[in-house]
Amino acid sequence: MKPRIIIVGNGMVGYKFCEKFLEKDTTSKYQLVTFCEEPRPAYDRVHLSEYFSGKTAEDLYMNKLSWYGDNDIELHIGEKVVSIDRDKKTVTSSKGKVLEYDKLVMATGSAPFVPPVPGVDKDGVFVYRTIEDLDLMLDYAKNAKTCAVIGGGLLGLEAAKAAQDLGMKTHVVEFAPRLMPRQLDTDGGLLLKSIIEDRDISVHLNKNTKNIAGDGAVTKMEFADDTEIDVDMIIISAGIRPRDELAKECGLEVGERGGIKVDKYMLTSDPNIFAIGECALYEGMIYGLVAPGYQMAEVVAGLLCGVEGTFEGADMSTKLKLIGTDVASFGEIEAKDDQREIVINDDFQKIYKKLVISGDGKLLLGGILVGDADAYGGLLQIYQNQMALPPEPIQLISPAGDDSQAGTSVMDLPDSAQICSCEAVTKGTLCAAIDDGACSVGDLKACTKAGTGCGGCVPLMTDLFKAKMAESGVEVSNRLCEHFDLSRAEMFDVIKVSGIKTFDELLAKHGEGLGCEICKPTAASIFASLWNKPILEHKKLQDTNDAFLANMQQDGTYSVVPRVPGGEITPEKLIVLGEVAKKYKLYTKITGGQRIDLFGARVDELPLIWKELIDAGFESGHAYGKSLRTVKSCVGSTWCRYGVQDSTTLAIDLEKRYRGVRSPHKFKSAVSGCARECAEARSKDFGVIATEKGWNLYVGGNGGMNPRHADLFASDIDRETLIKYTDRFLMYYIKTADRLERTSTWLMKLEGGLEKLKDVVINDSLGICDELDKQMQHLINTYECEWNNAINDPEKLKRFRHFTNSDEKDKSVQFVQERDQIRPATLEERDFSIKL
Amino acid sequence: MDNNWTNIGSVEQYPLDLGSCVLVDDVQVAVFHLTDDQKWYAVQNFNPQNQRMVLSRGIVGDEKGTPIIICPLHKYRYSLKDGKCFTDEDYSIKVFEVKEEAGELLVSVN
Repeated sequence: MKPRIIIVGNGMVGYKFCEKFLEKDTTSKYQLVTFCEEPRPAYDRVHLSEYFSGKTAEDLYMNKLSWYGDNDIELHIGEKVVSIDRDKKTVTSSKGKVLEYDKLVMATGSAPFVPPVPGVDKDGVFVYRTIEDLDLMLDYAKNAKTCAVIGGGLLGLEAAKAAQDLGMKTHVVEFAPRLMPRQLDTDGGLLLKSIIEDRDISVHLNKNTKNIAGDGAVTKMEFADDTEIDVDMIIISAGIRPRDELAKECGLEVGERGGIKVDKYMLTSDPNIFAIGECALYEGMIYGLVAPGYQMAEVVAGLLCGVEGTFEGADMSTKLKLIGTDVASFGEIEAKDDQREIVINDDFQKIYKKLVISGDGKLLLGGILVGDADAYGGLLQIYQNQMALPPEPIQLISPAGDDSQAGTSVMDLPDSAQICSCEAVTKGTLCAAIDDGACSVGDLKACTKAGTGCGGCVPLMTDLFKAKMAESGVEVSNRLCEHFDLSRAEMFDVIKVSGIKTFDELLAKHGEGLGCEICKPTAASIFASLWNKPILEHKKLQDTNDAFLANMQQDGTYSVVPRVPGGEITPEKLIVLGEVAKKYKLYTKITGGQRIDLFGARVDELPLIWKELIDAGFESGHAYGKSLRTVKSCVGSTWCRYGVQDSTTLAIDLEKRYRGVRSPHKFKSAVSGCARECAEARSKDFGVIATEKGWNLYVGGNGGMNPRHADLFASDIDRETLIKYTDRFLMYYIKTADRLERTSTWLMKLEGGLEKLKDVVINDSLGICDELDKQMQHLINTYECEWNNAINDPEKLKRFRHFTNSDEKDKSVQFVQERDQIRPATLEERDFSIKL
Repeated sequence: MDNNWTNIGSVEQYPLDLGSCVLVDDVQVAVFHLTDDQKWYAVQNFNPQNQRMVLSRGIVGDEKGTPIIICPLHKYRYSLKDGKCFTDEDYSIKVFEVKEEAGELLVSVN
């Protein structure tokens, strides 16, 4: 029989030990045996709150149950070790089994600390650690309205979010004068408090719970300062205590305040017994985070496979999302002696950033980020690798510094720099994997496991991947996808020059395979930009929204947006929209583009709704397409006492001119009647602002993720010139941009930039203006409302049903009422069992 | 166990290169008509990643030769051959048997 390694405890760290051991063990000398006290194998406690948002216990498993058997690991579920005989080298289980071990790994983890407050044993008081705890809470919360979480640390705030998601009014009660006292300083804690309170969770600081009152079940919390709050439920999250009872009983050395003492090899006072994770006490410290636990598992797995390594303590840096807010902290959080602090405390945007640096300003010693932790990855690298700081370190956290990333280029890092701290993957390992042929970030994840834990390092990994690709001279291919070795612009030219009209022809001549969700919609968009047939003629190519001429929402239903050119609408038409919305029970909302969006239509209702709208004189608003959305306008000189031109008429004319024109991405426009710019034209792909002498045309603006003001393209031009320039600008963009590239990105990437664009459009420097003009004119001449086309074509209407073989409705679509309208039911609210 | 075949109607109703959803014993099944050798595929309509009944409305294609369905909501890719998710290996979907007989399409969900 093989000698045994028995792992006591199958939590995250116990599991990770098994995984790392299997990776390193080439001789299969040992038999792994693991005992698991809980009724299921190891699961991801870090993401425990996702159990409340719809994940099942199985979804949270670290690995499938079959993985243990497949790897010849003997897993005893629902069975714990109750005693250890170190002389005989045996363990005894709760089911009375006695097993000999060769080496023993204690991974018993920790238990929640329950403060000795009178009344903690009442009904309605819970701890937050296991799936069983969560099941009990879920059950109890059905009848509870108010919940208090004792403990304002990391886990307490997670629990508070969960309690709020369960529909309870939630309080957080913290003994210390600030939230997350281990990770934040006073000001950071205050800002986090105000963010959390904005999300309707009450925070009570400096509160010492004196008594938990109630007759059988909890009804009230009483504090030492004689205040009290009424609650129906309490979740205790006041810290952890290492599970060292087994170790104590068999005479292993433990710390005064608990924890199994270990050395740098994670060896306990018995040379055959290791301890890892939250039960281990290393140099007086318990590490309550998963990353250090994994590092310990790595050390022991290595030692047992003959590779020496040591654990030298771990950095307690963390980055996480708490109640929807980024919070990160690393190293020193307050300056000592001659150290200095750089602080940005923006109470308006709710952002707090702090760097602690050495007195000479050369080294980064720590920091805190609340509200926006994008800088965390870069800062952590500078901190961990003791890289020299830039002369003005504030650049590292100021918004303007995000672009320049002064001093934080990932290529500056040494090979030993740890990129992924959950899986302890260094830059060197990632680079080696790229050299060995990993050809995407997904590949890198698969072969190094980096980025598979908390995921916080993925942006840095992506930067590294790109930089490495560029450095090794690999031309970052601009091919669309595996099916076409063409960029979008090349595909556009190929289709135009050879007059290709179908995807099958395109694939046969220039591609391979069956296509995918990248090349098919791209080809469909190009066909529409060039030949302008109603898009459902190519229904198999159309993406999510285009496929049903409507915007698919998160629950699989659709929204309907009729065109309201320039935002001008008659009362009669407005009433029709109301009547249709009422008849089909649609959620109704005013959009940012001055029109009305009707939500919650099932696929079979879409043609019925559109029939009524078209009969009332509406047409498709193309909200579902990569095409013109709206041309927003103010009322201009017609009504406004400041207006200098008729902006509404121009907006309506422009919207009608470009309606339905398909492009690489959506595009928006606006016309303002004077320099006050009420229509916000400079945030649009093309915007027009009236002047005393005519119109100013702006191009390349954008709202959204990366806001950018549009650049002035031409001043004081007349209407005819304005339309000529806009036609050419749009057509040139459509011809040359990448897929899903907005005009702002396209313009910034365009070689020669704005001046080049002016040269092409105004001076015809490429000699293509005649062609651009003709193409745009063709699109305008062949415009047809796609919905009008569809409702008159029985063949196209066939797609608009949920079941091909039944007229039943899709029962998984359910709504609940909110503020007198429908909204999609959340996963928890859905009354529907999915049958697979 | 013997397959319990359900007739889901004439093959004419199932357009090429597209998905269709059918109801078989209360199970929503997404049926796909491809141009490759196997021609017919059937999987669950339910996407476990976003918990929505949407897969039949996605685009079909292939990844390195394996036929796939791409979820219309968040573009997760699933193999039509064995139901494995290419985007996140934690997810997978059920694959059902489907066959063409005398111009009719039959599917089995047991």
